[in-house]
Amino acid sequence: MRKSLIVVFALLLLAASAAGQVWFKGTVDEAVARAKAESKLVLVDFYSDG
Amino acid sequence: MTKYFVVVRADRDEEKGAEAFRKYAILGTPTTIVLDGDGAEVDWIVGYHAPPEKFQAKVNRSVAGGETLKSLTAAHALNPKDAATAFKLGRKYAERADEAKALPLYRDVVALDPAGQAGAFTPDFMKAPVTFTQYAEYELARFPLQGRRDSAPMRAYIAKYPGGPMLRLAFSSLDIFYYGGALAAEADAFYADYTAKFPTETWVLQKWLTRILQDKTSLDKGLAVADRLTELTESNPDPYAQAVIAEFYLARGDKAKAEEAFGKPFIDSHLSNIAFGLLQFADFWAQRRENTDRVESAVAAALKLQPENMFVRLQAAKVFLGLGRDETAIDVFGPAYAKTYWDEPGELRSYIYFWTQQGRNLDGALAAGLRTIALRPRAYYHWSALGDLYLKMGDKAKALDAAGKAVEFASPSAKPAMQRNLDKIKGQAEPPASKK
Repeated sequence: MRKSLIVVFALLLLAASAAGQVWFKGTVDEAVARAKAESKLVLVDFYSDG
Repeated sequence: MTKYFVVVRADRDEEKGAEAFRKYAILGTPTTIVLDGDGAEVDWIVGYHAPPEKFQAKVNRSVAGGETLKSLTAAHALNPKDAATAFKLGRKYAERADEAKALPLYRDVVALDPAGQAGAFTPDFMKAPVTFTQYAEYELARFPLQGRRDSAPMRAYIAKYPGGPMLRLAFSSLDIFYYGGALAAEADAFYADYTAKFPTETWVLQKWLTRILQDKTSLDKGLAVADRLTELTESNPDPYAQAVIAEFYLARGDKAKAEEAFGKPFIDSHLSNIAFGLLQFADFWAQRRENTDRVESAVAAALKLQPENMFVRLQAAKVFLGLGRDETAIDVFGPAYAKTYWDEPGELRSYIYFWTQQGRNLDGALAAGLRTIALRPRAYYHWSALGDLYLKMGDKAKALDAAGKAVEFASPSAKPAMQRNLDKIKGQAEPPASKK
């Protein structure tokens, strides 16, 4: 599980801005609640184009 | 990936995103944070370093090595006396500019491992490794420089590690302190030390001179700095350095020196460098017959910048010949242009050499060759050039005659070379049957 997470984490970051990325639509707090319910982690991309 | 993560973006320009920025105290982007199901931070990665593979390697190393915020925090709680763990955790917090948490950990590192034996690493911005302890000490010394509070710790750091791998960085961080602050005498002492340690760093001298200009108390002391900067930038003038030097001389009321530093000689030389840079580019691609649009633009720009420069025209002609555009080459550097140098045999000789080498415009080169002889009938080098040209034109009798004249008029030191050239032409002139 841990190794899988490592690989997925890396790939996810690489693909974070790529087209086709499925983004959670709500707030960060809502994403945390979803993650807890689904036993997942949350990856937050703090973004600014300025 | 959504099998393991809920992926969410917090955009600073949207209200819900801005709230997350505040909640997690995000200072810069890009920052990526991993949270667990309780909203606790598991790890973070600050910044992005292209190419993607480098970023991926960083992520893999960080995560595979177990060096996440969460794992380091747990390891540190288990063994707070382990200097390496304390250091790595300190760096984690420092990445987020959380000095309240980073600095105590760095202090622990120095106390636990004063000899710097717990480990070393090479930061992204450095080439040589630095021990955890030296890096922690640097960070502890850098913190009081913020807001120009205290430079003593960084000066002590430099005194402690005069040959250390972070010396350049230490001086550079102090520069921020002294450039616009501190007393003039202290700034002088600092820049004197800095330039003594890095004597060829022109930007340090620029900073020093700028600081002297700001102080305006004693411009005399800037003379040696301006001289040194001039000396270092003489062969390759730097617009920023020249501007500071000129400003310094203007402040002293010495307009002539300001003109010397940043006047006509500078702009002539700079334009010439740009023109030759453009031609170098054009020649490179013309030889490969690629990027031809850019080649044309580069040559046009070079000719516009330096229309009177004979060597710019010569190089431009070479590019056009490389593109198979002989007529354009002759338009740029042909007989019409040679006429502008009709009374200057030195320039005409460059013209003759060029076309002899190219094997084109030979009649134009011959007219110029005869002109050089008319102007300097006893100059062996003009005869020699004419001999080479006749040889190229296939007129061996005239080539021999001209090469003979070159021997006749040559200086004692040049005579052997002229003789060898004559012998070479003779060898070529003899019918093959007579060769032994």
